[in-house]
Amino acid sequence: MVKFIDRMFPKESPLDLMILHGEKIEEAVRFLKPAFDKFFDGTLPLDYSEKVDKLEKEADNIKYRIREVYSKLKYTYFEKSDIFMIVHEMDKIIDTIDDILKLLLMNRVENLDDLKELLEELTENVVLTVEEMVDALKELKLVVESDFAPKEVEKEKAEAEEVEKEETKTDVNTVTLGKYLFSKKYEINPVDLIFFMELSKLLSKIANYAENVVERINLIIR
Amino acid sequence: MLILLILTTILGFAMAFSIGANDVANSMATAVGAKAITPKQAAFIAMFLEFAGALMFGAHVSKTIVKGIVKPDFIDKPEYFLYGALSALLASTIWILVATHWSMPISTTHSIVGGMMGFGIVAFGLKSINWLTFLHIAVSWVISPFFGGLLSYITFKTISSLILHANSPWKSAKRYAPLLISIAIFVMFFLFFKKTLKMSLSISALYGFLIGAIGFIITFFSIKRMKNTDEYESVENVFKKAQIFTSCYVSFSHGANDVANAAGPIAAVFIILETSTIPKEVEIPSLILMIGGIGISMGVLFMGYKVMRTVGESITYLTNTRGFAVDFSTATTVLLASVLGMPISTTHVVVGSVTGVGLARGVETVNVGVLKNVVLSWIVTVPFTAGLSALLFLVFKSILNIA
Repeated sequence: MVKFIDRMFPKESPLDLMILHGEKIEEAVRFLKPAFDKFFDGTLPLDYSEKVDKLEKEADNIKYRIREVYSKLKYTYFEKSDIFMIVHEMDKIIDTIDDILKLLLMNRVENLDDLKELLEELTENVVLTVEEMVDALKELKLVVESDFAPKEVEKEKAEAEEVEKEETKTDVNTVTLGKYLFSKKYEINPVDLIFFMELSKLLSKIANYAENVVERINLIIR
Repeated sequence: MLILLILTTILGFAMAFSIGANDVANSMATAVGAKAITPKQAAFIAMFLEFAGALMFGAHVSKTIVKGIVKPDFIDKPEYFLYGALSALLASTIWILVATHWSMPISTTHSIVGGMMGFGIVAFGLKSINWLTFLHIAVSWVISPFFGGLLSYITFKTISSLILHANSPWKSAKRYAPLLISIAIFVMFFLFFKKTLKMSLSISALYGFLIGAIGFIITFFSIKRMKNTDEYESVENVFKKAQIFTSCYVSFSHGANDVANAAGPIAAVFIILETSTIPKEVEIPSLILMIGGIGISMGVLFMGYKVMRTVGESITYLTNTRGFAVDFSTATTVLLASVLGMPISTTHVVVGSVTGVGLARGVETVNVGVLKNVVLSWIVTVPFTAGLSALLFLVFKSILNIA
């Protein structure tokens, strides 16, 4: 009988696991701002990257647990493929954070205060986008608990809109940053220019992945 | 004769013990999983209520098991029936133990029905089997999970539309939860008065209504005193308390329904040993129901705790509103079947109820594959226990030289 009950329900709720996965990402993304500060001070330590590496491993472990829950035939609210797609996009976020922190360890720059401000603004909006995405995941749990109550579905849609707004802001930040960089093309070292363009692209990608997550959530609750 | 009496009692007790040990998860699983009660509390509550249910509600179903499958008119040799009932009991106990070892979700009810049929066919021929009764029982096996599922679907959808979908779920819970809980109380007591105390339909309904009304008042004031911390969490807390009651309700009805599986054959053997005849009307003595009830309770006490603890760790997200819907539907279906004399499977009703809530989008994910196992156990159990019981009967016959 125990085995029967065991088989009837998975040990862990996939949505709880997704929220846990999201919280790992949230923890990781919050390293970006201090990392940029230290980078511009020239004191970026290795341990930020190491901490994110650890979080990445923990997130991977959660991802396997989600896959395990769905490994057998289940009766579920949501299509398996949708959940896997969401988790895959979330995974890309933490991978990209790790890439950024590693990239920051590779180069050192001096006297770029204007650029620092622009990057700070972009980073702040990226962090906000990810935080809103995690809120949307938490709201999804409420949508399910309320048996898709229209009030909660509306709240989830509003969360998705917030993420989209934040993502749009990061797009604007990226363009501004790009314009600034190209306006200084005769002053900045070309290698540094490529370096910052790469950083800007990676930051922008984080916001895009977060937007993909909420867009898919928005689709599956309809 | 004394040896036979002791052997029958031991076998019946062993079967009741295994029923208690394995089926206890049915009654308390959702409450333990939803953290409404601890595994230890669940085991103790189940122990007492299984016993009470067995003793107070058990008799009717036992009668069906004893005399329903094999036609009494065809039983010309009481000793055949005596060893046949023993074979059925032994075959069922073996099958339950084997199935438990393999962790198969088998029905103890199906086992004993198959066992009775097996020896009946070998001893008295195909004609001796009351196929109409069997069909009636078999149909109830199919109908009961559907009914449980339908009831849990309706219950959950009612909770959902009245409370969860409201602008303020907490305010709605304060308004509607006492009503839903008092309906559960009414159903339980109505059936209790009708069946156990053998009161008329109208008197049972009246008393049930009065107790339901008292339940309504108590629940209303209890909820009023509760604080709203978080809309959905507060709603779940209301149903968490209600779940303690509904799981007791399942436990009680499980005892009532499943004690028959062990008590029926014991009663048959005892009556034959005492009178050397198969009486037309079989009254199950309270003492035998008590033996079955104690067996189930002991199974719950000694092995149930472990089961509960595992279940508690397994089901971590079956929330209280869902648990309430599952428990209420299971108990009502099982108790109603008990009143109607249908020996149904509690396991299958639980599966039906959980599936019903799942179909109502109540649970995030349910393993549908398990349902195939349940269907497989339906198909395998009856032929297996029938075959084993027939074989055991032939062995008894040849060893003991029964003419």
